[in-house]
Amino acid sequence: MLNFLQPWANHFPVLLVLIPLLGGVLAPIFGRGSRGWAWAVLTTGIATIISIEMLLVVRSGGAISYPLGGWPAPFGIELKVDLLSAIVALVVTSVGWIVTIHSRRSVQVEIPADRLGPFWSVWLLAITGLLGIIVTGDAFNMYVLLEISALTIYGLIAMGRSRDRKALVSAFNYLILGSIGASFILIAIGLLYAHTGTLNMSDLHQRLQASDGGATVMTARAFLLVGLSLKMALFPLHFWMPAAYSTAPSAVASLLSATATKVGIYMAMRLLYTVLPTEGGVLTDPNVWLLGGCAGAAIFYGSIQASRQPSLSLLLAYSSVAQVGYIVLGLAVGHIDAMTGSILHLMFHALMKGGLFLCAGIFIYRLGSNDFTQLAGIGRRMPWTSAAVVLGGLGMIGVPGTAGFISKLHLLRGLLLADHPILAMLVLLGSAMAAIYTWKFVEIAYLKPVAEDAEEIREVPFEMLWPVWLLIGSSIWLGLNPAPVVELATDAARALLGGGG
Amino acid sequence: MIPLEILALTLPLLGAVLPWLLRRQHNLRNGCTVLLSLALLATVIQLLPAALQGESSSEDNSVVLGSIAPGLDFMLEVDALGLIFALVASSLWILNSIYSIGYMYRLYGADFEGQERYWSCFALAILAAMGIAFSGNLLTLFLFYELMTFSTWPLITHHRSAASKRSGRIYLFILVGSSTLLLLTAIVWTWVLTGTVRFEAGGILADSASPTQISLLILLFFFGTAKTAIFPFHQWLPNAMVAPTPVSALLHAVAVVKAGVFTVLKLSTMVIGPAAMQASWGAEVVAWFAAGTILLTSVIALSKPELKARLAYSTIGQLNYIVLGAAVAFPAALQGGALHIAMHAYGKITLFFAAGAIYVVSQKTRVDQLDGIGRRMPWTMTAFFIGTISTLGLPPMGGTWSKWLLCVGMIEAHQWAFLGTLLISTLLGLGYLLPIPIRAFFAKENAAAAVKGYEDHGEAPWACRIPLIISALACLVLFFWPGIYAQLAAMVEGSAP
Repeated sequence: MLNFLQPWANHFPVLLVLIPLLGGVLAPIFGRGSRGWAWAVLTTGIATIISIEMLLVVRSGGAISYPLGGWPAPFGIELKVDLLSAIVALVVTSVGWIVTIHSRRSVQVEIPADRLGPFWSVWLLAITGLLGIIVTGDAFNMYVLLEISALTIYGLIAMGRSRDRKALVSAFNYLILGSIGASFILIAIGLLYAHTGTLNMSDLHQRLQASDGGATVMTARAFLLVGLSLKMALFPLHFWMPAAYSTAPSAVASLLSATATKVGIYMAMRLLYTVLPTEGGVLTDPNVWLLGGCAGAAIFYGSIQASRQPSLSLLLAYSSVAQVGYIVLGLAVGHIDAMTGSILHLMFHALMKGGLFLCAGIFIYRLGSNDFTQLAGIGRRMPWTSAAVVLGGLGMIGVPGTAGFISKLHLLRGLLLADHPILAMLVLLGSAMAAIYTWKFVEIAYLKPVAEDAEEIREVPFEMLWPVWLLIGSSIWLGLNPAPVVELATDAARALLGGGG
Repeated sequence: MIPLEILALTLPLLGAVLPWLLRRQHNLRNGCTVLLSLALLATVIQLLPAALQGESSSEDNSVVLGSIAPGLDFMLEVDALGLIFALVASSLWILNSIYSIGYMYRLYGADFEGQERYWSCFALAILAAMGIAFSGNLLTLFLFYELMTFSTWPLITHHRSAASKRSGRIYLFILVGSSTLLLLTAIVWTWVLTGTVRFEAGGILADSASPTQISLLILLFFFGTAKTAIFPFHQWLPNAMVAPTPVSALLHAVAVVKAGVFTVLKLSTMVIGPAAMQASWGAEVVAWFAAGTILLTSVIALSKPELKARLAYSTIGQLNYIVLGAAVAFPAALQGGALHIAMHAYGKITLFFAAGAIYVVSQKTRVDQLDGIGRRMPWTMTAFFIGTISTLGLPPMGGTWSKWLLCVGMIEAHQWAFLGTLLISTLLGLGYLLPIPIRAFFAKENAAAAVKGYEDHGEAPWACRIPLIISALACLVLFFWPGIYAQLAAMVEGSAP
């Protein structure tokens, strides 16, 4: 641990929320130019360091419980960080940091100068909300923070890539659907509160496990499942996502793809396993089939749609629909190996898809759009960006040597051990279909001749490239040497399935 | 000191980086590539003595590259079968590098388009071959198996034409599809059943899987390894022939396809185990498919007028000799299969080199154009003749021994139908290959068959001619001194009765 952080170690959970919150509130005063960006980099950087330290603390000393304002749980609001929260917090802050570093130029091009202050402010507030969801141990608090992140994200999307009007429509759609989802979650939390008289998550879990549940809990679970599915864009409630990701400013699309859906999945893991009652640590059969079925369909549908899209952004968005399917599949089955695979894929997908969306943004920065008609022969004109897309795509397929392979390997083992050979076949089929949509890009970038009238295009500056390669490179590194991360994910999965942190 | 296995991976990796660093200095790059290939062969030879003394079996000398979880590593380990493959691939990489220079320079000029990609991907494919040869468990094998698929795709689509794009798609569709859907399933299933993915003498499955499971696994493993071009997954190989001939020569007669048959031999001997193979109905099914593939492709080869297509179908047949050997899994069959990796490689690469040499100087691609060409290209067509004899497994060429052992294996196993298959396919081979050199020397040249602008051609450039002469000589030498390959083949797990 860094020494100067030692005195603050007890306050990490709350600092993780306070610092981006403060950063967000102060961002507008930095105003135009690159100063707002520098402020955002600083803030997310500090948050990243804190989350690294927090992970180390949790790893060595077990879950941290932080009574907010000194009021002990269950009377006050409790922040609770276990291994899973610490991992997801690290994913959100670190990928968020790298995306922020990358985004200086693309944001300056896509966002009007007089909006830069508010943009970075909302950006940081969105990260605040996401981090809050991760560290809180209180169900109602989670809902509030969910709304904070959601409202800010609607704003980010609505800013639109270079004031694209379509962004308003997709942000509005997302607003309606997201609000419905959030209301469903609120209703569920309300029902659980009515049934148990507590909002503290560990308390809730204990009381729900002890009571026979009955219709109230069942209703709550139903509302939760629908609300969460909307939030994590699980098929068939995914349709807001491709539109939102493809019209949002490219930096926003990268940030959201790497963090927002991941936090939705984190909520699902948290609420389904450590709040709602489980049967000996796993979900009951109908839930497994419901979630597993949707996840399987997501893999299939997302992959097929991805190979039919006209632009890289849309392709990546539909690929995310499929990849969310993998994560939910492992989550649903509840076998330790499958859950490990899920948590691994949550991390790795954030790295890879974050990097891929950055590439999509780079193409927009240079070419004005990333429609495939524009990308013909781009492999020779922008070799570094294109190569990063190919490597990221190989990760989506799950080629051995990439991080995607490691998570799929564990997922497959879990599915086979839990006697779900059909779902295992779906995972493999999804990999094969990922090869189709990845190769769609490869053929266009490397085999198609450059259009005759195309302007001279140069590779983007190093400043924009190294964050991409940091993300993609680390996904390759983790594909070859994943042992520490796998161990971490296994422990987190064990804690989760053991019924509480 | 760096372990030699790591060095064997590092040298081709350097070869993959160099073309991008030396974009302008072509001669320096060519020189370095040849030097690297020589160094690689030297490295592999350094690994021989220890393996020949049988040290590898007594102690654990594996090298770990990276770790996924405890007991689940990317690791390298040297054994006899791996050395055969590594020796073949590294020695032929030298010849092929020289041949590539001659072929590509003559056809496309010294500064041909996409040369960095060409040399780089070539070296990556060799890296993958080394990785497969020395892999210590299924996971490592799969890693390099997929690397080989993806690194050779840019070579197949080198010309960027519509035809090469289509072939590239078929190539990926079949190889990636089969390996992710079938091979990976089998690997994970094996892992779930046994708790390990290591290669062990006698196999790892026998104690922990039921006979039905073993049979199903055999089917998944053998059909998942589509690089063996077993029917119905053979179509990628003829399609891959759109690549420049040096690519077809090294990759689709040696590296890629031999990676496939190497994998099935490894699976048969060290994952499933010969005893389990012999007892299972799954292996029986695979053997019938292999035998069917041999006959089918021999017949198709007869009907193909394109020289390279004919060679490709002949390759499919020869590969399935080895699959047949691996499926039957009697000692002599396994030994013959292992030896056939080497013997077929030298014969077939000679044939491809010759086909390329003919194309370079005369632009001729069809068999019926080759009447009388032997008088213009005596070196090339003599080498072609030697390659033909060796490929068919007739004395006095190296191919004799492997075919002999395979036949002995079929007799040991009392598989008379498969013995018949081998013999019939030799006859068919005589029908589709032998007429080519014979007509080249004895038929009258048909002036109308000449390609415009290439009527009066002579021999191929020396850079093309020397490699094919050397590989033809190797076929001859291996008959009298099968030496190191025979020794190694006899040491392959399960090949001692």
